[in-house]
Amino acid sequence: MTFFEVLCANLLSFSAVALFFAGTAILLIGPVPYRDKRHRYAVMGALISYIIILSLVGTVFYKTGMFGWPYNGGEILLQYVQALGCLLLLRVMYRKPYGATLGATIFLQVAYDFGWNLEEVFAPDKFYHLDNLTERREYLFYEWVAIPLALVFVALLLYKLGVGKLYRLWERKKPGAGVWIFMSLYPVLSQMMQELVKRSEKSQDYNPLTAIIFLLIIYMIFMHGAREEMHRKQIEEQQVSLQQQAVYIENLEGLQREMRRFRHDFKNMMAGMYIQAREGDLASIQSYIQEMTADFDMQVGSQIRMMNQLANIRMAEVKGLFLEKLKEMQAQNISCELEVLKPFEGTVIRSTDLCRCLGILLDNAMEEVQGKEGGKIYIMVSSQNGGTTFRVKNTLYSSPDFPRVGTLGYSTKGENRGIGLANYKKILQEYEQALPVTAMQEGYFIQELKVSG
Amino acid sequence: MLPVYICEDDAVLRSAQRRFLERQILIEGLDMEVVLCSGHPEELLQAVEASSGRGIYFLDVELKGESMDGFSLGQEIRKLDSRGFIIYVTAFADLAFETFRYHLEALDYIVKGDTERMYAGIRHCLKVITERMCEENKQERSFFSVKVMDVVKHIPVDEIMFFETAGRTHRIELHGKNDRIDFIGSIRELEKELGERFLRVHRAYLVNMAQIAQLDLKNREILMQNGERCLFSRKMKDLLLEKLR
Repeated sequence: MTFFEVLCANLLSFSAVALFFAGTAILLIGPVPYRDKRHRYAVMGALISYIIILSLVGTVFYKTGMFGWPYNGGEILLQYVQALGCLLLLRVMYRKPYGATLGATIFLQVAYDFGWNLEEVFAPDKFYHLDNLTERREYLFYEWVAIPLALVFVALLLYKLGVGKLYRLWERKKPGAGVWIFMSLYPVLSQMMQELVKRSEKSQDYNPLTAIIFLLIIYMIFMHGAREEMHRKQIEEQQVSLQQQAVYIENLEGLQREMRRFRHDFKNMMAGMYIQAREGDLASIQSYIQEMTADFDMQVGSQIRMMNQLANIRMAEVKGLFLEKLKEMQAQNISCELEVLKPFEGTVIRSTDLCRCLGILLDNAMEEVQGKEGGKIYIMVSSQNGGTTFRVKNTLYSSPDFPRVGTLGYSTKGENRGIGLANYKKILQEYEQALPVTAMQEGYFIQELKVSG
Repeated sequence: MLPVYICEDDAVLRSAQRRFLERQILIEGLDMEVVLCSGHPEELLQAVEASSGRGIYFLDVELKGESMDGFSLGQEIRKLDSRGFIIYVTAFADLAFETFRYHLEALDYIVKGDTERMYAGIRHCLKVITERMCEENKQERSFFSVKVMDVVKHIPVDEIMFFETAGRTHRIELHGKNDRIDFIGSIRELEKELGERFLRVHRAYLVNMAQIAQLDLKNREILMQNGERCLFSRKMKDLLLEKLR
């Protein structure tokens, strides 16, 4: 075949390639931002020059026999030329920074190779002697019909799988330099893989790479499953947090209602006081004022205080837990004091573990005073010098066998209990920085959890 | 004589407190004296530093316009006077007494606003302090002090059963009659510090000899007075038997 003939054939082949690249780029990066006529001309020009230059290079390679280089050196070189062309083409199309364009280029290259290899599965395994007319026809059929069809199939696949969305997400993450270098080595690496496949093939239809590929697939399935699970958990956590916020708002609204009621009472009281002041009855005024302050403390003051303390807990999960437990206590008529003097931002303990631990301590305290007269629970969260102390103190009614508290299956509350504190210890075992303290003092049972950092 | 200090930013309340305290000290014939009554924490700290000794402190929690609040003031006082009596006089909304007691060993709190209640609170505090002083003079109990992060806990030595090194390094669990405390330390150091009364019966256990109830020679276990058990090593058997005889 003459140089010109090969060039013409290449022009057609590379047109298909260029169209595939442009089309998939749109799938991947998104529609080309339309700027003006000049931009459109520039894109067209780039596309055409891409086809012409690559066809020329391809023809030169073919004619000089560079495809016969060892280890497919010519092929790799051509791939780099092709990638460079694609890179420039994408630059003209999207005017994005080189890094981002490189990523897309390599991906397109991989997609192209995939389509091409897919077609190869169906094509006969042989070298064509292009000087022979029947062989040339066969070659050109695969080159001009089968490969474009395969490429269309790949494009459809990418479209259906929604790869573009994933790609844009990935790109936004701004991958590091290592990733770019790895990706730009793709032509060499793929060749090495190919060599590896060839070399590792054993005589009895057995290739260890098959196992590796299968492993990869399984790994991907795992990753997918894990991601799905994480996603589900995230949603669950968000829902819990939303619920807790709703409770918080409900509480605030309740507080506001009380305030309104108190304001009403307060006005009445002021009116009464005014009359007494006119009559000069100092003693009654004094008792009135006392009554009023006591009333305020009773009606609104304690709630405001509780909310003030809660506001100092800056860790949403823990705040939510306390809110929930405080509500439960209110419903069960358990009197409870919460103290958070300084803002609490968090500890080294994972939030889920911390919530579990605190939940166990609170539940235990609640169970002990439930339904008893005069029972009280004091909760303290104190952040000092980088460490935090959680302290739950409750009135003690039963006298526990102190040495056995916290061993599995021991509980003052009967059979099949006592899992709580044992669990608590187990969770804390994971954390070097957490020190549990238990004490009985002056009729109270005290559980402390001290966390440094 | 115990000096009494008052720190309160409201002048009216301050003088009311002072008058009441002075009268009460006079009536009850207490060995106390109001030495300082101020709205400024710095002034109070200077006085405490100069006096060196145990005092009684009535502190407001919210000190408006001052460089520190009652809590930080308490922390500073504790550095100068570790055994003094700190009482907080506070508005209901600022109250965080458990925290104050925990970190500062505050004695009590008094809610201001209602004068009668405030006076009753002060009276009660003075009574408790007098009692406490009497008691302290009587008893001679030795305590084991252990630092758990930012607080120091004092446990009567005769209530400690044993120390156990938990699985993790440098972590020691104190098993007491009414306490169970995890802290960071070295059992070898403890052994030195506690001396004769405690015996290292096992790699992991340092036992209070006075609290041993029984030896289970077959299982090599020690039963403590409170029912807890710990192990002893084979080579300690003879020494244990000899010491307990």
